[in-house]
Amino acid sequence: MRFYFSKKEKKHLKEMYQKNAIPSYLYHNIVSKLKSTGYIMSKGGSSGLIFVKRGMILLVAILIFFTGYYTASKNQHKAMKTNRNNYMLIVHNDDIPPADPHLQAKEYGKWLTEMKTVRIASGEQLRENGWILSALAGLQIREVPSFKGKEGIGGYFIFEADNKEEALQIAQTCPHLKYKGTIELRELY
Amino acid sequence: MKNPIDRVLVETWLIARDEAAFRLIYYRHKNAVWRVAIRLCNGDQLKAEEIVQDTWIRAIEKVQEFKWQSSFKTWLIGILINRWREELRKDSYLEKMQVNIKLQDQVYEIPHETKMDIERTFEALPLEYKEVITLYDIEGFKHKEIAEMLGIAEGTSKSRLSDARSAFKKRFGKLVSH
Repeated sequence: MRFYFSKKEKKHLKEMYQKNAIPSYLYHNIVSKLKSTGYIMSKGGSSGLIFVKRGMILLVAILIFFTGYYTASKNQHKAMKTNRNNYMLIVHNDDIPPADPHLQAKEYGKWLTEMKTVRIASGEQLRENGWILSALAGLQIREVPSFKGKEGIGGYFIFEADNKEEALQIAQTCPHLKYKGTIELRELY
Repeated sequence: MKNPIDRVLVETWLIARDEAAFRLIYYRHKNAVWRVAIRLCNGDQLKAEEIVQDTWIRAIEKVQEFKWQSSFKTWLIGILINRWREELRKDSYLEKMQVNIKLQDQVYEIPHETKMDIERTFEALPLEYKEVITLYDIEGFKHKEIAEMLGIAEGTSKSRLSDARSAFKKRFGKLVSH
């Protein structure tokens, strides 16, 4: 004969010892013990701080990756990604100043958001400052005062497309062209 | 991979060895670990604290050896149960628990299907029955996970649960028919 708990019994069992809440000092006791045995580095030491920073950066990066992966996996179009290629749309800076930079940036953001509803995509606007690192004659780092002008890159978008034709079609809808700007489409490995 | 977030957090902690990473791991599992501990200890707060503290310290000491073949939570609860069993092997503690159970039975006169009746029946169960009821019926672990935690076969976990429920019903029935 098989026995099961009734709902009421199960409820009571789950509620047992609820008044015995986990004491907050328990965490501090555990941490201080782990610190005393060296399993947790104490704050204050310079090497400890470096580890903390590196660890946290890594943690954030990995969590962002997993969050992104999770979000992407929830996307209804995720099934299409396997046979798709990734493309980068490089947005050049142009001599023509935008009428309203804020509005323009907003429009670019909206375009990206719309694109995300049907495919995996991302993009960022680049700041005007930057550095060039060259190893031709030993490592040299020079600051580039401004990326303004036709040679500069103002931002980029990365998106998925089935093929070159589709990627070109998507690129043509980029608002930067509306502002008579130049964009460059590159296929990623 | 089972619970990749746990693995990421543990790997991060192994690199950084800092409190922030540990805190994230701790806060993800502290409630589950505590709930199991307090139930197994029949509500003995001090004993549960001691066991939980030792569980976390042992887990951190051994985490590098963990193969990630089960979930981190399953592994953690397994450590907790081993620690609890060590406590039981100390005669004084077992005696104390049994005395408490006897006392509870003696003072129990007018049973009703109340929360307190159920608690008393649960507390008076044999220890291995209490383990499976806590893990399966209360905490919602699967038999496969329980088998890993307790170091038994999956079939044994199932039959033990059936016996445990049966024992509970019989004891409870006996109490309410007084």
